[in-house]
Amino acid sequence: MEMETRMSCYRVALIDDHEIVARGFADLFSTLPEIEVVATVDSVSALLDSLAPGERLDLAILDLRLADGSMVASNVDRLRERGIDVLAFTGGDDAQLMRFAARSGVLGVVRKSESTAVLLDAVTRAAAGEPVASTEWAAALDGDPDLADAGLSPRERQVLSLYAAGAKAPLVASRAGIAESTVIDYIRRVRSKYERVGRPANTKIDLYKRALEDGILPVPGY
Amino acid sequence: MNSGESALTVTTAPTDVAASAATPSIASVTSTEASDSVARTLYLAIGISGVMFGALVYGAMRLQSYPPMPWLSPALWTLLVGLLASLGILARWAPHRVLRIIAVTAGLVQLATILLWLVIGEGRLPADAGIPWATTFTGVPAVALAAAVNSRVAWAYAILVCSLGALLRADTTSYHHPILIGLQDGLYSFLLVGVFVGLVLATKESAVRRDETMRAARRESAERAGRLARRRERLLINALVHDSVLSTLLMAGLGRTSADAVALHARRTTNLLNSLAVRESSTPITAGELETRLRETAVKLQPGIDFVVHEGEPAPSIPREAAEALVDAVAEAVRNSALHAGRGRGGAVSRSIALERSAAGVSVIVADDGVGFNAAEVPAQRLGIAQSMVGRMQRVAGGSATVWSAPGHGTKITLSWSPPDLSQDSRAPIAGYSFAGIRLVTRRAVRGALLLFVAAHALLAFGDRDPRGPLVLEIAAVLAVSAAAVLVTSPAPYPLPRRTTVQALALCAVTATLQLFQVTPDSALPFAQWHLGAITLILLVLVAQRRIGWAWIGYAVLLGAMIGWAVANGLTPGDGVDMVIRHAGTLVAGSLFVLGLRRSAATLETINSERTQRAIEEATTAASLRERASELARVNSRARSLLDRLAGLRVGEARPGESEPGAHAQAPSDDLKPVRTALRAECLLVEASLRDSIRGRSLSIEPVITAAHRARARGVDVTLIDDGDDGSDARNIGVVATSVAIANELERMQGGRLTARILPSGRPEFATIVVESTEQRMLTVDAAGSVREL
Repeated sequence: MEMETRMSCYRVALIDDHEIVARGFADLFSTLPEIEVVATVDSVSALLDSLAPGERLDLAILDLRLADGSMVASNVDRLRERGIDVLAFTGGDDAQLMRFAARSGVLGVVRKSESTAVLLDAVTRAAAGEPVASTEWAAALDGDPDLADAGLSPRERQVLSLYAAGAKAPLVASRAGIAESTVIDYIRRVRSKYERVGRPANTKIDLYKRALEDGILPVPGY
Repeated sequence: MNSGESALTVTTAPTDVAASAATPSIASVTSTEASDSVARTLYLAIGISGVMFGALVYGAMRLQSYPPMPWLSPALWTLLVGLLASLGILARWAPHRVLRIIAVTAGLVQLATILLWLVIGEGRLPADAGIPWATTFTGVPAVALAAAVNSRVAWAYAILVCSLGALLRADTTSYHHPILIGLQDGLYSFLLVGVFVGLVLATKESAVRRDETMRAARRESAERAGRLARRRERLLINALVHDSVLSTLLMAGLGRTSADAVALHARRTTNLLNSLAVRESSTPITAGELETRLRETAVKLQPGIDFVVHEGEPAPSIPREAAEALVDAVAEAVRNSALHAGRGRGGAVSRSIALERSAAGVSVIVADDGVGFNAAEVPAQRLGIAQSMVGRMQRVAGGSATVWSAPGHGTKITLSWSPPDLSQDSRAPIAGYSFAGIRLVTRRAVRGALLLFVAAHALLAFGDRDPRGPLVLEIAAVLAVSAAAVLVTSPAPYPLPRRTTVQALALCAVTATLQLFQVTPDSALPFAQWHLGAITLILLVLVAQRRIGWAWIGYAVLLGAMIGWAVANGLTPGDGVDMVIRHAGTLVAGSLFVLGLRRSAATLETINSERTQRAIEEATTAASLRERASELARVNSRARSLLDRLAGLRVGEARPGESEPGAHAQAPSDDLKPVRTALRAECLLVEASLRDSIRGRSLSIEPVITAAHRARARGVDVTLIDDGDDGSDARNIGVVATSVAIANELERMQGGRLTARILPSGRPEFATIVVESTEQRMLTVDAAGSVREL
């Protein structure tokens, strides 16, 4: 079977309210041959405004905390509605933000301070539409008090907790006694099941209320 | 950071200890509002009753003077009445100690009077003034004493004074069965005094309990408010500070950005840290002060601006932070309007500021009729100034901001602050407090009182009776009144159900009617009218059961009946009144007390909610400040000096030897020079350790801190995650064991990565450690602290 020819270039946008961060990463990711960083902006609105209708964007790398007071869930939703996949970047200090992102269906959550190799790998995968499993993401999900709502199978739980403990795919595979490709399958399933968590009929209202309850305040400008 | 000692020393993270320390003792200051209020009400009622009874016994007192020292009786009478009256007068203002002393003195004077009389008094009293005036008085000083001292002393006194009174009565009566009289008097007095003293003590007890409940509730509210404030503050600081600091350090460390950009960012970050620094004084600002400041600000920016104040109910005072945020935000709004509203418009723009104050908080509306803008179209961040306005208000607890605008219709910005919401607080209901005292009288005590009631009145009725009256009717009368007593003391809701009330009153009427057949005016029996006292007691209990109106109607009927009876039997109406009037005293005293309590209950409610509100505000402010201070301290201690250095970077820093700040023009590529290597490494290390302290929480202790630092310097990737529950002591064992294990592993690693994670509670294991270097290993730590390799 022939694989479909890869696009020669994935169009990627960076959304971060700290200019030096956005630029720094833009420079880094531009070193990848198949990645083209087409925009560095500080908010989702700015990005969506700047896109021409029908213009294709493969991936948005989204900082989980932005200064415009927007909420993670709504940011991710808006991007995905526009047909853009989302890879979340985080400083790694707030598990709840990561959960919100995961529930909205990001491809993964990656810590900004990861090594270059890890970052490049993550962006490459995400640009191609593959989920990215990271320790932070797994720990955030594993620590979610509402995780039971996702209905994960015992195997899926095991894989998730191994990732959460810090293992990578090879170690996870060997501990769980399965092949690496199976591990990746499980991750895909965990990811899509987790989108179900906390999503009753009034999804957005609930998340909003939850965010308010939890005191997640929008980041003010200063 | 400790410069690594050889032994692995473990220290617990200080931050959460401080945060979880009990809220300051504001809420736990001893509050005795209810007890104080009850006492004062009592004293007032006692004072009035004392004067009343004084008037009642005045006549008898004049007739019962002591010949060798004719001034003695009036003197004692004056002293007693004076003390009681002063109690009533001073009830509102005097300190409690003073009131207590007066009350106790009155009790002692009463005792002394009776004793004196016993000792030096001689002879019998004339039949028409046969009751020693001192014993008529007995009830009031006893109640005064009961209000002032504890229950044991109160009861001892009551027993003593009634016994002595009985003795005195026996001693002085001109009746032919003195012992019987004494006994009857003693028993009846004790019944009456006992009921009063019992009710007073029970009310005091309920007041004490209410104070305790209120105190506990207030403490709980304050603690909860403190917790919420701490959490909010933590999230707020996280959002602002960590993000900023971490990204500055990371970008400086990664070396992908120019020194200039890093310096700029670092400077913004340190400015932010400075602006968040906790201020010492945070006294609240009154609504009036706020108005003044707003007016000043507005006038300074826009001299002609319209400033309107709408005032509702008294506005609460506003925390300083909120007030300052409000004033700043209003200033921004006005400036913004001055800049943009007039654009493209021919005519002048009219602007206004409206300040609304009410119990629900304050809000300021800055409006203009300028060009406006389509708020939906303009992306939020491009509102710029509007954004920081909104942010400023949202940073403050209870603050909010909304922006409304439409093209051609001007702009309206609403900035408001409201005090924390009390509605979810459990306000221990004191609505039913009015005479909760009776509820605290145990069934056993009630039964005892009933027994005493029946016994006393039986004794009064049959101990010595006029044989002319039909016995059977007298028995019926005693039964009827006893039944009434049982009815009014039955466990029932407040107020006593109307049906029960009417039934009791009917029984009293029966009793009175039956007794009409017994008593003739020439009957010399001292207790022939025993039913009057009995009925009065019943009415008194009705008053206690919040049927004051009914009780007084009953009394009025009784009065009327006695007058009728007197007239029918050839006496004057005055004689009829005479017989019943002394009982009025009892009823008045009881009614006064109940009414007084009812009024104080409403005040107590207000006092309580005010105090609770204040406790919550104080707890919120204190907790916020403490939390912010400790978070900032942590960030500052770890990262500040580094940030300052980054902020001070100039282009020249990049390459040693280039010291001219304005060196741009020389070599364009200099601008892009990254930060020096050693500095970069330090930035990365500090970023990581700061992240550890946030995400790794309790793992951020020695020996981990040092081991991680050293390992990272060697190139090891270290990740610490704490997903466990907050602050339970049982965690300590696990935490210590895990951190020792982490440090051990790290010391051995030359590269690779280590991830340690404390699991959420409820898992079979406490923590996991994954080591990936030359080999791949996984360790688990259980709650007891033993480390296993999987």
